[in-house]
Amino acid sequence: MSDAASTLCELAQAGDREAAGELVSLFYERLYAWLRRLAGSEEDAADLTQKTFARAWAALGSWEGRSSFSTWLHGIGHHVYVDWRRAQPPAAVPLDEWWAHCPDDAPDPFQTAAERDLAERLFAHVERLDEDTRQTVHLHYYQGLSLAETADVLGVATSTVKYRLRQALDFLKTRFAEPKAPVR
Amino acid sequence: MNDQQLEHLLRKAPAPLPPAGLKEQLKTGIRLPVPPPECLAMEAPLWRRWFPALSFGMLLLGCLVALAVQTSQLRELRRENTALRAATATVEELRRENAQLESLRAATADLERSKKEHNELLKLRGEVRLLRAVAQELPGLRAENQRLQALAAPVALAPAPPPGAALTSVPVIRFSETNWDFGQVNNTEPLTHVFVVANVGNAPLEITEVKPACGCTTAGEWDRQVAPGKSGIIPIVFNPSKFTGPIAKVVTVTCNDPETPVQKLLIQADISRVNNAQP
Repeated sequence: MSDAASTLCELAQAGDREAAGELVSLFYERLYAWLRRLAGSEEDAADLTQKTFARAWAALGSWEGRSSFSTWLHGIGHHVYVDWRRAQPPAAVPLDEWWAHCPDDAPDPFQTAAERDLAERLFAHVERLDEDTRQTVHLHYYQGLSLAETADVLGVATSTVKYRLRQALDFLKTRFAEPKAPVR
Repeated sequence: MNDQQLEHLLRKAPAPLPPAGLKEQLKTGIRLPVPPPECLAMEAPLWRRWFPALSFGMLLLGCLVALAVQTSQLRELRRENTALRAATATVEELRRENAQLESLRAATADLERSKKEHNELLKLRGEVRLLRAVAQELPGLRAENQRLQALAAPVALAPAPPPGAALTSVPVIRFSETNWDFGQVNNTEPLTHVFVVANVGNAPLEITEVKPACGCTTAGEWDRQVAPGKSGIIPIVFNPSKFTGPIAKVVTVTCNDPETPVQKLLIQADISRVNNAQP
């Protein structure tokens, strides 16, 4: 997919709208899902997705293939989200339960109700991590980016990503070591 | 719960599906940048294509000009430095010459002072001799005075001269000595003796002429006028080169002393001839 995305990107750089449309089809769902988990509302996520693609088209000439198109697009999305987040007052960013708003026709990844219950508690604890660690967990675990890709998107060193993930796992382990503590 | 279990569950996070119509909106919003036509790229201004080379060339030219100017200034400064060093050497030489002249001037001044002191010394010696002679004459003069007073006693009883009879003012010449003997001398160098003359009268003494009797004797610059109570000098130079054995030469002094208008001075010497003095 990376090679195909690179080819499409080169065509789009040459002015091929069809190729650009193909890039939208390939990446918009994944990008929306990531921004939806971060932003807390469907409207904001859709708006951020549109802004991300608009910036990507404007900066398309600067893409030189040093990183994959997916990583490059996530990097733009990260900056769009950070800008949006800075413009919002802290109280205005809701911590919604995004995992509860998945459409019914989406395939359920959990095998048992107990596992779903456990996962929902886990996701709730992740949303209460500090912002940098939370974004690192979203990119690496939820979006499936590698450590290097995550570091590239966030603009930090790979060792920093490892450190943040280690902190997140330690925090989550302590939360789950307690006997079914309510999520605060 | 361990790390693997946590990571397993985290990787199973559900992906919220986008709302319907978002894809179409995104595709509609595609605004691709217009790529520059190749013909435009080819027709880039000539100066823009050559700008890097031209700018480098201008920079290099500027550096060369600056280097040339600096080299010229350096050469000029070196020339000035050489000229200044030469001038400094001349100044040093002039200073040395000046110092030598100063030392010579000081030596000349010392010599003049020595000559003056020497003349003064000779004069003082003459005065001393004169005073000694006067002192030797003093007992005789006292006796003469007493004799004259005794003779004049009857005259004192005579009537006083009439008023209006003026006392005459006359100079009286007196020499420290009228005879000078150089003693045993060689004939190689001229001999000089200064006669000291005193005026013991009450009018200025005029010494009008000092006339040696022989061409071997010359008179130096003598004091032509001596005030009353003062003394003067008459230097006499005798050249013994043509004489051998004892000689005596006379110098005649003429003055306005009414009693002694002409005084003879005698110079004596016993001259030995030195062989290497012969030409």
